[in-house]
Amino acid sequence: MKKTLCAFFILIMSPVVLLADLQTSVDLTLLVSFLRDAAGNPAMTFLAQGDVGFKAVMVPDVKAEVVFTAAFMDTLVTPPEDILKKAYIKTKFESLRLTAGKTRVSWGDGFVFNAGDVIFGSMTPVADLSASLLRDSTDWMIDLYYPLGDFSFIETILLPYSPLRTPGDLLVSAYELRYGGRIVTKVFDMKLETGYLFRNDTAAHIPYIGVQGNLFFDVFLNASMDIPAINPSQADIQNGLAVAAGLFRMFSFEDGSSLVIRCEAASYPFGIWNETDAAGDPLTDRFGLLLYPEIAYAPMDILSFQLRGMINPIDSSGMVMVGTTFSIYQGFDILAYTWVMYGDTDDSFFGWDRQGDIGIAVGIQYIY
Amino acid sequence: MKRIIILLIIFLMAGTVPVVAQLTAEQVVQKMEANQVHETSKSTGSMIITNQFGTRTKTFTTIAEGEDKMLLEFTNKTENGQKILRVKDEIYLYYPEEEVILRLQGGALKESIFGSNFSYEDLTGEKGILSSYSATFSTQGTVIIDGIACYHISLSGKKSVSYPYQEIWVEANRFVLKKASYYSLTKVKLKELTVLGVTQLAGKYIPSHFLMIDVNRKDSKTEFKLENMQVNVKLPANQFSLERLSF
Repeated sequence: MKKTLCAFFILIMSPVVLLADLQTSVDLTLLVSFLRDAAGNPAMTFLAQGDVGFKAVMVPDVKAEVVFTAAFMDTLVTPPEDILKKAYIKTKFESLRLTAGKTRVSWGDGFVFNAGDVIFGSMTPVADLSASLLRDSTDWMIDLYYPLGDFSFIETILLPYSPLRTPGDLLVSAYELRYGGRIVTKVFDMKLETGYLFRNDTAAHIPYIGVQGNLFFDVFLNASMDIPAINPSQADIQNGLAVAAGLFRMFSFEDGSSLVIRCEAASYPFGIWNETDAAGDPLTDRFGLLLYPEIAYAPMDILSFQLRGMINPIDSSGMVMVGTTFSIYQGFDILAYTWVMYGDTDDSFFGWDRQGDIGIAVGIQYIY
Repeated sequence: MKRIIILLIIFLMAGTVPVVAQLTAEQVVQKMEANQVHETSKSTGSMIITNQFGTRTKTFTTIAEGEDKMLLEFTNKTENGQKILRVKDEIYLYYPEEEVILRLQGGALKESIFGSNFSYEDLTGEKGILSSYSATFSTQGTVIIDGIACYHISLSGKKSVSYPYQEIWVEANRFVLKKASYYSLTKVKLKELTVLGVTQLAGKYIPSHFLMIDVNRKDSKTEFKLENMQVNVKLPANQFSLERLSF
């Protein structure tokens, strides 16, 4: 009888032990939007978006995390291959660190525009300016990190799945692999970063370099070159040059309020500088200049107002968003924002008289 | 008779001469810092932020080395895994969701940490007080705060610091910070810090429970508690590095 009780006790306790080594998190957002459809009629959408995460915390030198994400608008709108947002194991050895699985790495600097982000690409406009994270793509990778000192390191990466491949193919062609590395160090008071990615899938060499420092504002500047691996012409090399720069500063006032000023720019110096040269195709149009200005004012810790814009000065189009976040309880936020686009209907990224050119959204978010 | 009078005067003087005569303000500050700064330390803790809309609790683990190296990792749900690394004058923030490291310089160091009344600089401490401030006694002798005799010292910034003026009250017996007031350059009071609890560890008296009030924020206060403290523990190598920050 004692043995049975003992076994029963062990059985019922085992999930408790397992849970003790696991941290769970849920991030749920519900959003109602009222907007104009393509015909100019009023329309409404209801979005439910959630992340569920599990993080192992048993061994200090091993970390593992799994995060599932899904967005529903009546039906599932998240592509099936994106539902698994993160699934990785990170292990620290004596002199290096290994990360394997699906996760994110942030190369280069920049909140919105980042020419150094040669892995995920951060040179195109962001359509949803209300999000707290404007760039959060993940990918499958094997990543090795070698520290060279407290503030310097070398990182090498191998990405097996090309974004161009058809999802579902079990075999990965060796001709689709992407691999590269970067070195990050500090020179005087500036962060200096340089790296390289070889894209087998598009047969391109992509080197980049970036600096980050402080000149009253925190500032960054980075540049990359997308060079065809086979017989590149001068025009190919010129067209592949991308540059991003930005500044950021937070001001605190004696009444406890704070103000954030951020401005970022993305440029293809040999890209489109004349509206008539644009094809109106967001996939192929590389504009000479795109701007992201942001002002955020928080009169108190739990309330903030944001003014964000995505501006294409070349074709005089853009989008402006005004939003507010009210963090009424711990982990619980009330969100409200409105946006409007301007520009011609046939402009590449934004324009008036197209679906969603103006709208308002209200919602709630809870992290628990 | 003259001798007796002189001796009496000396005796009476000795009784009234404050302890200040034996210690300078700098020495009091040094003794206080000796209690607050450790070769290494490790602890868990919590920040309880109260404002007109309620209370929020952030929990964390922290390790520190000397006076200018500290790594803090939040363990509560909303900020879980976010880390703050301070090494000398630089602060790095790590956000696990984006796997991104942000380097804060300049004015950002004065920002409030997640809506608390502590700034990044408050939380991570400043380098040796006497390297940044000149110290003088505000009051001769000691003053009584909550029944405890304290030295009352004024600190004036010698260079650009978070708070150009400070007043501190240091317990006369244990040389533990009891209370502090922080002022702007125009001598407007910005914040008040009260030490609510002290832990005795490794022969030191370590302030471990604080209350910070930002006098400019209505109904706003932050309690900061350190628990499970260990001092002079052996820390693995490279704990205050980007590698450790992003792990």
